[in-house]
Formats: sequence, structure tokens, C-alpha cells
Amino acid sequence: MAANVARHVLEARDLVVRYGGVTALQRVSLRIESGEVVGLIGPNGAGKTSLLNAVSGVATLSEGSIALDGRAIGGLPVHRIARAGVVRTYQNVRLFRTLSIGENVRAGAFAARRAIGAAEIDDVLRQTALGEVDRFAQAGRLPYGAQRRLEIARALASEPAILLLDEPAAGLNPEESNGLGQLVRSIADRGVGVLLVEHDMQLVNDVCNRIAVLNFGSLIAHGTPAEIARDPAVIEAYLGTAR
Amino acid sequence: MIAFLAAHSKLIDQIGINALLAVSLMISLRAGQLALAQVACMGIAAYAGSVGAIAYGWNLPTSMAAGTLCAMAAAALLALPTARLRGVFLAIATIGFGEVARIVEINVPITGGAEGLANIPNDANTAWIYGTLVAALAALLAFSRGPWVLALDAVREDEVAARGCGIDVGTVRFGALVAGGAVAGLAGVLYAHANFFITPGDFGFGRMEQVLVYSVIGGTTSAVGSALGAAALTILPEAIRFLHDYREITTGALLLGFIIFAPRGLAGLWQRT
Repeated sequence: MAANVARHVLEARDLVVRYGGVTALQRVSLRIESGEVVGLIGPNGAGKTSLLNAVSGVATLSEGSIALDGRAIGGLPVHRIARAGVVRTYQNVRLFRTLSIGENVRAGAFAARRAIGAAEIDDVLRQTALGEVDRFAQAGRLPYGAQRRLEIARALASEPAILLLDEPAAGLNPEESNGLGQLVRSIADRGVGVLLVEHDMQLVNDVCNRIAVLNFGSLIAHGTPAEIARDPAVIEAYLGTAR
Repeated sequence: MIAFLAAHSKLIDQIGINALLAVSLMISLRAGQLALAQVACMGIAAYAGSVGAIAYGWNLPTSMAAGTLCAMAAAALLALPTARLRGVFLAIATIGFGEVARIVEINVPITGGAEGLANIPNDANTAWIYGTLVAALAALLAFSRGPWVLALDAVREDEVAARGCGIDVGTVRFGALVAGGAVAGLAGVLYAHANFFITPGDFGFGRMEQVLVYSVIGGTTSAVGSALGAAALTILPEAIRFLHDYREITTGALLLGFIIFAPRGLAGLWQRT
């Protein structure tokens, strides 16, 4: 990584999210730095998306604090968090479907408070392996895998410090999933901190520097892919206890 | 040609005013906001401009400026409490606002009540009306080159994703409603000054309904399409007078036809799919 790239740190401390009587997140702390990919895994309903929603401002924090480079961003409106540099994608792709591919990328640049031209749009599209598409075509007409990549392209146009990816490989075939892994790694190598929520363990093991495991709203393990694979609490959460 | 235009000058003026109203609604719809208070804003501006013209001898530009400011203020006042309403709920609230405005216009002394306001200076000619329409369309075109129209489009397509792109949805929505109110206000003052007299009934839900039809037939997200829709539906009743009692049915049939076969309206003829 180039030495002149600004380093960023996202520090989430003791996050609690409650929906009515249900506690979706119970005192979860997480740190993401520039250049690393942090995997976030856990069984269904463990709170992975709740954590992403809490960090991106979509869910209201009941307790806890979030800081980007020491500046508190917890509790800010979603658009302010995006402008601060924490940008996300969605589990169910949320493109501006009737707008063109180019307009989707241009809209992403709003978060960086700048206007981008055709050359820069093409550049972002090339980075996400969409260099061949017609940027005047309607986004909703792209094949599914390409829509997922366009969502990442839109997020990259926001020049994020921290990128939150919510199951980007869901619905992709193994070849597409492999390409996505390379894309995620290359984004991190350019100095973006990535939080990757994913069920595809092959992908998570391939690209993540560290993995955090959630179960029932609590962080039960945290470490390198090799450490997580041996962790008894993780094995129990996924497979149950031995009798 | 000149004789034809002279004979139909009232109709031509009406087309221009209706086109402004359709453009006003288009600005809301472009941001995905089904706000139907354009005719109420039109009425508020018409009364404000006319009262000033009659009582204080305002000329047309002064009436237009004052009326439009009142319409924008009304749109802003309406936009704030309805900030969280969307879709049909916003439609109902804004229609309700229109009815409240109409009933106030019937009951306060300054508007002349149900009898209406007469002796409004008849100084809004065709040039003023079409000059205003062209200026409004040109302003929208100029904006469409900058980031603003893309922000409206993003908010219409997906508010959650728009927020995620750093777009302040509340501000965009507020701006769209106030800008739409301004264009409706211009239409209102021009309407009053082109017609000599106005009554509260001129600004009821019936007209709002017509504007919505212009928009659907012209294209809900296209300014030029909306203006063309307004022109087509203002001319239509005159062109089919020979149908007598069946005239009313044609608009409904046309609307249905467009919704089913051409949901993008006339704008679908040139908009990229």
C-alpha cells in the first residue's frame, strides 16, 4: 500500500441495538482499519445485518459509541455517516434501477461531495469488472452478478474510508464469487477498511485478515481465519455441542 | 395563421397555464412525492397577486413575485408536517390541504368569498404566459445538468440507497415541494391576470385531478412530456366537440389506454429505456 494514503480507523464500542423487547446486539465492539478486510460471520439471526445497520446509521443505537478517526459518528443521520466516509452495500441489492449505470455511479459520488465525469465513471466501472458495460444502459437490466458489482462501484465512487459489504456474494456462482473475493481484496489493498458480512466461508477465509463471529447478538470470537476455525465456541455455535 | 391564433387565444393561454401546472406536479413526482397541493398553491398565489393588484395597483411582475412567494411559503408549511408521509398518505394529506385552502378562500372576506374576486387587471397576455413557461423549462433543463436532478431521481428510486449515497433526503424532498409550489404560484397569478376574475371553485380538486391526468399522459418524470400532456388534454375537449355527450368518456379512456399501453406517457417516445 502506498505510504501517502491516509489511514483510517473505525472504532465501534459496546454497541447495543434493541428492537422493542428484542436485543439484536449486546455490547459488541469492533475495530476496522484501512487496508484490512474484517469478516463478520455467524448463524442466521445472529445480528450481522443489525451491526451493519447500527454502524451505517440505519438502525438506532440504544447504547454504545462509534468513531471514525476519533470523530464520533454514532447516532448521526445515514447521509452524514456516508459523507463522513462509512459507506455500505445492501443484502438485497438496492440500485437506482431505472437510472443508468453511469448515473448510479455519479450518485455515489454525492457522499464525497463532488461531481464526477465520464472518465472517472469509466474508471470506477473498470475497477469493478464492469468496464465492458454501456454506462447509458438502465441499471435494473444488468444481470444479477453485475448489479452486485455496480452497487460496489457506486460505493467506491463515494471514496469510502470504511466499506461495509452485506453478503455481496449471495446468489453468485462460484466463479463470480471468486472474482468478488479478488475485488474485495483489491479495494482493501488500496487503503479502504472493509467489513465483510458473508456466509460463503471459502470467500471469508480467502480474503479476510481477521474474522469476528456473532451469535445471538454477542461477539463470541475474534481472530485470524486459522484461529476462528479451531475456536470451540464457534464450532459450538455452528454445529452444536458434542454429547 | 394569425387569424387562427387570435380566434383561439384564450385556449392557447389556457394551454400555457396548464402546462405550468403539469410541470409543477412533475417536480414533485420526479422526487417520488405524490404531493397533490399544486392547485392549492396556484389558488393562494392567484388570490395574493390579485388582491395586491386590485387594492394596491401592483403591476404583473410584482403580482407574480408576491403570489409566487406566498405559494412557496404555503408549500414549505405543508412540506414540514408531512415530512414522513409518502405515497397515498401524502396524497391524502395534500388533497386535504387543498380543500382547507378552498374553504378558507370561500369564508374570509378579503377573497370575496364564493362570489370570487373580479376586476383583476387583464394584463397577462400570451407572451407573458409562454415566456414564463419557457423560463421554467429552461431553468429545469439547466438544473438537470447539475447534481440536483440526479438527487431527485435517486430519492424517487430508493430513499434508503439515496441516504447511503450521502443525499439528505429531507432537504431534497423539501426543495422539490417548494420549487413545485413556486411554479404552481406562477401559474396561479397568470391564470388570475388572464381571466379577469377568480372564484374558490377554480382551485378545487377537479382541477388537481386534471393536472394529474396531464402528468400521467405526458410522462410523470419529464418536464417537456408533462407540458405536452397538458397541451394535448386542453385541446382534446375542443377538438372532439362533435361527440357531444360522449366527450367526457374520451379522457377516461385515453388515461386508461396510456396507463396500460404507454406507462411512460408521451415522454416514452423519446426517453431512453
